[in-house]
Amino acid sequence: MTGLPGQASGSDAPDAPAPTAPGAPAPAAPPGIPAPLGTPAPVAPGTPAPVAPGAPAPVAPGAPAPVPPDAVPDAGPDVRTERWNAVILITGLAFAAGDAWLAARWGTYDTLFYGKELLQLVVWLVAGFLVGRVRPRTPMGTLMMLLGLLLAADAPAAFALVTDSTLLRLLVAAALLLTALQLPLGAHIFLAYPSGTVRDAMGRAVMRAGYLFGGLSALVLVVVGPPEPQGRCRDVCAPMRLVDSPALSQAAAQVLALGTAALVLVGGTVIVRRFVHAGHRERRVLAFPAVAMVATALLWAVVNLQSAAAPSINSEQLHSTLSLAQFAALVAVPAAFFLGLLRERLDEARVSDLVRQIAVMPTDRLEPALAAALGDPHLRVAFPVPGGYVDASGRSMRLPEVVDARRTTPVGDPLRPVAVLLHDPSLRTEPALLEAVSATAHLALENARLQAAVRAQLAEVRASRARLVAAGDEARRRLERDLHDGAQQRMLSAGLALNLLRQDLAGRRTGPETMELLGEAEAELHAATRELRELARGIHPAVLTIQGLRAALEQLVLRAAAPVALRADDLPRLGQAVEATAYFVVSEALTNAVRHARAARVDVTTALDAGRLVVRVADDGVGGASLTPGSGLAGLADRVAAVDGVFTLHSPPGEGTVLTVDLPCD
Amino acid sequence: MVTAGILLVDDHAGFRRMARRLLEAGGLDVVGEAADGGEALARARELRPKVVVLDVLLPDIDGFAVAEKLAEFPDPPKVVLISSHSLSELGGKIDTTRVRGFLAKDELTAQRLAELAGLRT
Repeated sequence: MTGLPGQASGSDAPDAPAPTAPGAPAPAAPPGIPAPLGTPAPVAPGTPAPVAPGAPAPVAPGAPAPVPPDAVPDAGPDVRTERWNAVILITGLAFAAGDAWLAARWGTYDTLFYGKELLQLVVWLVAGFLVGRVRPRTPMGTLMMLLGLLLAADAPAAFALVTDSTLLRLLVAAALLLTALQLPLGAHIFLAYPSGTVRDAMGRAVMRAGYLFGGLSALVLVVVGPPEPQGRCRDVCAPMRLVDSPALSQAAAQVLALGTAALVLVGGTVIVRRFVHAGHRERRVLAFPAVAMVATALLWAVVNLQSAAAPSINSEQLHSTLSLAQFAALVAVPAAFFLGLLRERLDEARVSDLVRQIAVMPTDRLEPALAAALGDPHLRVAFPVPGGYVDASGRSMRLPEVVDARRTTPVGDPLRPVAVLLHDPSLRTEPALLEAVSATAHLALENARLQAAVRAQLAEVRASRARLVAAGDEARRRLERDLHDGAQQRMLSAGLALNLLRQDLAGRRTGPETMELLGEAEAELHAATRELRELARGIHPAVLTIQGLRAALEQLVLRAAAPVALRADDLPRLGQAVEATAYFVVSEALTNAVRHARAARVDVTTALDAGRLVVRVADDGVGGASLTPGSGLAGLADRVAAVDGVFTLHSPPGEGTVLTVDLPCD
Repeated sequence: MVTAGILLVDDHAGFRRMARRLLEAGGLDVVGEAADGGEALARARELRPKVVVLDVLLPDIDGFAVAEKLAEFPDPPKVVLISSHSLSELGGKIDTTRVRGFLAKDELTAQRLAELAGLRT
């Protein structure tokens, strides 16, 4: 396994043969990989090379896109894929063992070099196998294992074996051709992560270019061979070229290195671009692998550019540093893939958490729980109710005018959903997760919708009750005003007219009877005026409108038929409903205290604290008051409830009565 | 007889008409009428009355506020508030620095007004 790209001119090993693999990993080809490649695995080392070098379908650009395996619903493919994966793993490990044997027997580099090569391919194999377990329905794991297998199969090309064996020369020649596949297959995998299928047009273009380039590279290797190897393994490391021209092979190597660098850079750009455009959720899966992939791509590009620029310079220092970094990046990539996908798997674990908890979950915690399960902290749940949408608490919610299918997912029948999830658009890439969460939460959401609908109705009922009370108050205010402006003013005018008449008559000789009648008329009119004023005040006291609660209470106290001690804060003007409610509470309580409880003393206190007005009326009367339906107190309790207040009556027989109301004043 | 210009402010035309006759019959000189607070201030500025008889409840600004503004006039007029409500119904407090007194409307006579406004001694 040629450590991918640029080990060409002997990275670690000074006199290494150049495996010339035109750099390796990079853009890649079409899916469809799973089954075919696994089997043809060449057997033991020493045997003829596996798979015709140029073979791996360099992808006819126009070829029909293979069906992404993850689209297949039934279980059959899973089992098949699993079997293939096992075959690939075993074959790859067998190759690795063979590689190790070759290295031990004929290798001329130090052990560290071979160790790194073998570790790298084993990491790909194992990570691929694990990914296959974590994501059984995607070709991702199989793809990764295929790369591991490829690396195992073509490893001897970079091993600097020294031997006279023709068989080994054949093997190395085959391996050398296989190295041409590293770049396309590697790119394919990078671009296909995390679904295992290259979905974007640009990625597919790069992938096809990669396979094409891989085919060309193989051809070049057949014709001119790798650049002139140095050191001890001349024949084995550069076997069987058709045209023996060191200059030509050097030039070809340069061109291939440049091409590799270009492909790798473009591929890296595609990955960066995809990351930039990803939703925040997708980024979590992409983040680490993307960094590893881009780092790897950059390293490949640097190594290839360097070797293209000065293939003969054998800067060991630079090479060993680079190859070490390359090695780290290459090992990091499969590990990152695995971790990234494992992270997705954790999403599923959260779904199963949800399954366990959802039955006993209060409806107000449903939204955060779904947000956690879907990994979208901004998730909202909207419940359809007649006339619109509400949240779980029953508050009206406005949905976007235009329904964006990428941001909304109906739960249940799409035409009559029990709820609509409003989510990050990146979740569309995980329909299975959305579906699982939706299905899990369906019943709970249905439940929550009913509760939300009830809450919304309750809120509406409360609002309408408050409106009724406010409308009643307004009607009383208007009635009082009308009495004041109409009948009362006319009676006052009539009084003044009688007064004028009296003055007028006083200057004439008028019979005493007339003056007496006039006096009676004036007295009647005064009484009527007073009664009308009392009536108007009972309907709605003008002082409450004009001066506010405190002045109105002071007046109540003045007119009360029992001694009343009023302790009232200097209240600011409060809402009309609050002032009127407090006023009528005190008024009714004073009336009860005097009329029914026969109280000798009443204490009225009002205090405004933290946005709530607390009014307390305590008397020393007979107690025993109760909220008999239809009674004045029951009416008061309704009034207080209508403004969301709290009404408390404490009236044990013989111990007086304490009435407290607590009214919100926002 | 007294030479004192009185401005009569009340939003009820019928009451104004009757009150004017009553006051004039009592020998007082009513120089103008106004139906609301804004008009009252404008007429007061124009007529420079010695006394303003001011209804507390007016459609725009209430009589207390009008009295406050009148007090800022140079050589401010004397203000007597009237209302169909009793004083206690109106909160019971009168700022005596700005207002000479209060009369319930059914107690309004030329004599009471003259006494309150200090028109006759």
